[in-house]
Amino acid sequence: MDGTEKSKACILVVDDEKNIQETLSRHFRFLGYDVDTVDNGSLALDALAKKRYEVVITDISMPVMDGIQLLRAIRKEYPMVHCIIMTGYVTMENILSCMRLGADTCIYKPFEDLKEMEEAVESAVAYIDRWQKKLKTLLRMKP
Amino acid sequence: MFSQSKVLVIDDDQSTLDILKFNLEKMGYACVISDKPKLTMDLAQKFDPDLFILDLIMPEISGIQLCHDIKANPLFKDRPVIFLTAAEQESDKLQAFESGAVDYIQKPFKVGELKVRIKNQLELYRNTKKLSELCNDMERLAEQRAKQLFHADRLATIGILAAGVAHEINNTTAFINGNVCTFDTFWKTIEPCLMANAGKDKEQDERLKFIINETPKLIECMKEGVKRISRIVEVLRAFYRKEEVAKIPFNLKKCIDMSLQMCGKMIRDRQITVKTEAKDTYVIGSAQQMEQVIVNLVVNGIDAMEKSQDPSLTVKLYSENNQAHVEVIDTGTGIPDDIIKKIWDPFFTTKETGKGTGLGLAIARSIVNDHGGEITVANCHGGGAKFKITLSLAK
Amino acid sequence: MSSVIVQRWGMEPAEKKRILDELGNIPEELYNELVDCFLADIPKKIEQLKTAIQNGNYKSIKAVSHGIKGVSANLRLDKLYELSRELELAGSNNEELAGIEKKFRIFLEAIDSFSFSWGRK
Repeated sequence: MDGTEKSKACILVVDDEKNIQETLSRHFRFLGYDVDTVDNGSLALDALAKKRYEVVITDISMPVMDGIQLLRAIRKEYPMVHCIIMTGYVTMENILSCMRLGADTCIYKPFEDLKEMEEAVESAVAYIDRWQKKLKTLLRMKP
Repeated sequence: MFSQSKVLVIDDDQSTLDILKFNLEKMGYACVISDKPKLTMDLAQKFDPDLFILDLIMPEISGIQLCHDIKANPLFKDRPVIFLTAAEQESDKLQAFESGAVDYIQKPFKVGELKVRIKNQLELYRNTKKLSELCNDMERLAEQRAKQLFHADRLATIGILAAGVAHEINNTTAFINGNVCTFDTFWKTIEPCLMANAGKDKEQDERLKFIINETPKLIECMKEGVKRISRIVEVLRAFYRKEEVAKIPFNLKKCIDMSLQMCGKMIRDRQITVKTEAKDTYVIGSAQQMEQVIVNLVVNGIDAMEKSQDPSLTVKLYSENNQAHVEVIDTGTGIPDDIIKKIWDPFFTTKETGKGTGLGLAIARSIVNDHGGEITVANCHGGGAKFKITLSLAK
Repeated sequence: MSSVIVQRWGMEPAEKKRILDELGNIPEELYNELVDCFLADIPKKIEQLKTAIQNGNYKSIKAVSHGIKGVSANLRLDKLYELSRELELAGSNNEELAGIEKKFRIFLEAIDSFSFSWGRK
């Protein structure tokens, strides 16, 4: 939104609760991101096949395909995508799975505020930015 | 614990009465004799005998009639009646037993035999009484257990509901909060625009000033509301299936602060003076569960002070001997000696049905034990009670 | 009254001791008192029996002799017990009055004898 070149990062929000989709979409669009939303893990994989997303924010308990299964699939097929898990049903088991499957972080519902999520998204985008810059620099270095 | 057995002897013949009285008293029984059969029921009411010895053939009333009278009386109907008589006919014996007598001894009687028979009947009566008392106790216990099961069943249902409800509420409060946060962010853009719009109309300006002033507070309030809803949901966790206690270090002082906040309304409504003496102290386990424990103790303390003039609650947190100690002290009525050991029992409550589940302290103790700690209670000298939790400090 | 006179149908010391024993070791004074009462009451009973036999009142014969039987049983006065028992049975069975009178007389003799030996008359 400010003058500096900021690649519009794409976020995919996965949650079976429409209100949550809307809330997060509104919030992050206002912050300048491009946001799409889907209802479950299976639809999320469909979306990932069609468009490049930098960050996926997903719930765990969803019908058809839950967050853990989605995470597993993303790790396999889209290793560069960063995942942020959000969940209202906290169990040790789930959290450990998220950790082991390489999620960036886990945020508990209800959110105290969206700062934690904003920071997680920023951090993920910064990571990608950093590597992109490195690649660009490398290309420029070639004669 | 053997109370003296009492025997009432009715016979129109003095020799029987005297011989029996002598022997029965020698056996250690209390004995009342009478040669006036008409007075039998009066004497029975006054003396309350455990056993009756009756003659069969008497001038004014027959022994059979007396036996019927005794059996017809709800107070005495289960007490043994023995006939002691010179009557010899089979029919007499039959009649005697039919009228409800438990034994029949013929004169001349062997005193030794009489003594044994009386002793046996008294023992039998005593045992029957004990059995019937045990049955009553069993019945009462069964009723209690039934109530407990009903309770447990209700809790199980609540447990199932709680899990579902908690999830629903968490999801809902998530997006309420999310939107509040978004609005907060919007507001940062809106506010300067509002300011820019000022100066056109005096009344409008007043209203704008008001809005600019109030909106941040409004937003804060909404956030606070959502936080409180979440805390309430947390308390329901007690009824979920218990998970492993997370072994994370946490600050007990925060637990205390949180718990007192949870009870904030109760404290304000009942005008309780709350004193806290606490320093940052770290232990290992689940902060939420410990909060639950402290909330329980605080609520109990407040309830104990319901009738107090000057209710005051003190919460202390300190470390000693490598352990953390939390004390919750009230100035209430204290706990009577006869129940102080029972308060930890599941479902034990002094509140009327529906007011307390009786689970609070049982769960509290269970949680504290899971954390490797100890929870105790003692009455205070000036009145009131002190609950103390001891936990190992986090290394 | 402590000494017991040994007489025909009387009570030997050994016998008395046996009786006291059987009755649960009651004190001798109590036993003596009871026998005294029995003997004091007997004349009235005898009168009742006499009247009953005269009137052929079997019910009364049975009742009175039953009473005597009971006490003699308690006091272990075996002979008197047996005789009063016979009288009671005779009354129950509506025996011939002549027969009953005979038994009655034997009974009276026994009473006399016992009273005498007991030291009372």
